[in-house]
Amino acid sequence: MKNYKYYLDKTGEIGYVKRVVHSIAYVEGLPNAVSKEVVLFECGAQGLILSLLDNFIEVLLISSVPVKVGESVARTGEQLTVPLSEELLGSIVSPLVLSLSGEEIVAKPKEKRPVDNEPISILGRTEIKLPFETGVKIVDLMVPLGKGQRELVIGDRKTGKTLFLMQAMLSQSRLNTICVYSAIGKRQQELESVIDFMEENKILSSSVVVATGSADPAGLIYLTPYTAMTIAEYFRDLGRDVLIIMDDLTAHASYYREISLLARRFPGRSSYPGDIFYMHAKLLERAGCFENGTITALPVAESAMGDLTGYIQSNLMAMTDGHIFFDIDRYNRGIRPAINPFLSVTRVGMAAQSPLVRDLNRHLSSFLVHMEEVREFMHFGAEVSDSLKSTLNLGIRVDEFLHQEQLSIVPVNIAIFLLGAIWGGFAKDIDKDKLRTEYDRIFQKYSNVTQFRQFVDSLILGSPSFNDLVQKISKQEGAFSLQ
Amino acid sequence: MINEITVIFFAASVSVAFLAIVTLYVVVNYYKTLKRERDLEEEVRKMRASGSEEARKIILNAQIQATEVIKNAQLKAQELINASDIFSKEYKQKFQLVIERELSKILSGASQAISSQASVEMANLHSMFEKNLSLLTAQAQSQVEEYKKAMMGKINNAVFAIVNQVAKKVLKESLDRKQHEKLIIKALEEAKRQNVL
Amino acid sequence: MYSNILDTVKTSSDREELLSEINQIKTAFYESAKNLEDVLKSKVRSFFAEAIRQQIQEGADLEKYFSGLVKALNGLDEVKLEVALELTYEEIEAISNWINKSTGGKTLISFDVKPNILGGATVSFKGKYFDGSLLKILDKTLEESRDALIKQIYLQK
Repeated sequence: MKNYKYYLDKTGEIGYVKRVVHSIAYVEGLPNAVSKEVVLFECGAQGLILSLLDNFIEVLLISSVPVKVGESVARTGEQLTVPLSEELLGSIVSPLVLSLSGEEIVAKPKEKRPVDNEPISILGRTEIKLPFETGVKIVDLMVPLGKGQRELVIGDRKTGKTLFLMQAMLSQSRLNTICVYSAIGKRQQELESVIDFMEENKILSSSVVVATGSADPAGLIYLTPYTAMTIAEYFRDLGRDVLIIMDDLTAHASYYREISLLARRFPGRSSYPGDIFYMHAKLLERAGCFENGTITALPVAESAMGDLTGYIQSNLMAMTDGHIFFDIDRYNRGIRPAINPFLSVTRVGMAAQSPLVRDLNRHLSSFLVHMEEVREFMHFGAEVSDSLKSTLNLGIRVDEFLHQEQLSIVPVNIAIFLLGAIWGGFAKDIDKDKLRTEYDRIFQKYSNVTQFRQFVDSLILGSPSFNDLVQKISKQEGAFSLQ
Repeated sequence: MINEITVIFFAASVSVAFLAIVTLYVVVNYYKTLKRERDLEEEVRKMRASGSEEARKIILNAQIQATEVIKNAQLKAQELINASDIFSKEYKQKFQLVIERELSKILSGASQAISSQASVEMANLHSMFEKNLSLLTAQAQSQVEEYKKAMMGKINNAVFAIVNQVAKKVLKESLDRKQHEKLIIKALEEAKRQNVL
Repeated sequence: MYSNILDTVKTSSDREELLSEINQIKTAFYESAKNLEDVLKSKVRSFFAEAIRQQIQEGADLEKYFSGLVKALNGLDEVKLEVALELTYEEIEAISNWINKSTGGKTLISFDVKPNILGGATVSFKGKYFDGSLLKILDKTLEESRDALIKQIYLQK
């Protein structure tokens, strides 16, 4: 982008700021201005034309430089574009693809793309065929995802949503996926903890972080997920698989509401503008499974008191291919991760899984439902039969198995293997307190011992059904010995 | 009767005396024996001491001798090794000399055959070296030229900037009011031509 | 009807001044009719005071007159000129006449003094902009004859 004087001479048009209302400036002049055009102020601020009124132009301010009344404005004749190249990997950028201190990051851009793109039509898309591993056992087995799926991560605040996303990022970066994390109006401390995690686990070098703080102008915060999606599309077109995380879209909706109300748009339900659904749907439709690559989207929504019927929450649930629900009750009971597998849904993820995983999912789901019923029954204090006792025993083992420490990942194959072993009675004699240690030992063995890993992988590959796997494992007793 | 008492008394006193003498004798002997025992013990102790002293001396001696022997043995061994080294060195040297002699014979035999080929090779190498050299010089020259150009460009920019500044300053101070007014009208005319007004 | 008044208004600052005078008269008139003469004598320029006295003599409705005048004043187009130095009254008049002749109507000028443009003016009117400053001309000329200039400098050395 060149300077203000250049555009003034180039276009031969000038405007003057007549009124400034927080993040919206009303400009008089600029007779040939076009909607969504970028304008430059004399003080160096940038703006986007929101709408064209009779006597004024409504400009959304996207810089933190303050704009005064009477200031002159030049239009650039261009839409908002961002420079893109592989130099972006490993950097933390603002929505204008500048460093957080305002310097240029991409010195030699390979491409410049507009931030607001049309999503690819149905002709450019393919079926979701490959599984998407998050490294979190309960998700990979109960609510499995596919590459190219849009899965909403929803829950109350402080229930572990961001931690789950970091686990997913860690798993996927190990599988050579590019991660694009967009922090929408986050507090500095929260952003720093995510970045520290990415640096420690060496995933920052294959990721891009698009961040805005809560002190940034509303216009800039509004652009954050759009820039992140444009960057994701660029890497998808290079043939890579991309994971995009939008943390979080409820905050994004509230900043958009602020902008719309200031621009005197008619308020709808909960004072949100009427086009809030369109705004999010257009963004999420840009993710998916395409011919040259996939973009898997994990948008985040915050609910209040577990209420999934809120406006933005239900909107997002409608436009995604499923949701993972973080239950505050489970969190308070100490269950980690606090995912409620009965209230979580995956619409297209199952089709991308192997027959074994589908069969396992059926068994596990029906078992967990049965366990819930049994637990309800236990409240009566009735006497317990032997079969019920063994069910309860297995239930405890499965619960301990599904528990996962924060920021730890477990490859899906070993999770399936261990569940099969537990199903076959491997852990029935181990004390409840020692179960987690025992499970961790086996996970460590999978990571460290190549022979064991190969054995497990081949066993999983060669088992068409869950019962088949359980039988095969029961025959291999020596597999769990310490050596 | 008196004779019997006297005889008894006499006999009793004689026996008592006799017993006393015997007891005395025993006691004295006992003490003598004790003393002898003590003396003997003392002697034994002395003997022992002297004996251990002797033994110590002998052992010390033996140690000294042993170390000497070992030292000598080490020295001898070292000498042997050195000798063997030298010997092997000498042998090696001799062996090397022999080999060298043989090699040189072979080499001189082969060298004549190779020499003509070598000279040709040498000539080739020489020309290649010259070519590389000229290439390198050309590269270096072009780099120098580029650097010169860049520097000149910088200087030219600086000169131009100075001229720019000076011209502006001069103009500012040299225009009078009439000229200013004319310039403004001219600007307005141009604006009208461009359909601004 | 207002042409005699409007002819005296050449710049935006003139308009602002006139509007504030109208405001003062209206306030005085509202308070009491007697104050009007005092205000006309002390706080309003003579030509305007004369025009108002004439209107009073003719028995015109002052309120209507003022609202009409304010509407006429606010309806005037404005040209923004950035110039290099403060202009005298005569210079402003000459420029204003030129502009009115070329636009074919009454146009106000808003002056902005920016010494860095060296001379000439930048013109903005109804959203359109033209840079006719001496600075631009100088930069352009110097840029075009840059090579020749440098050669000359080196020759002189």
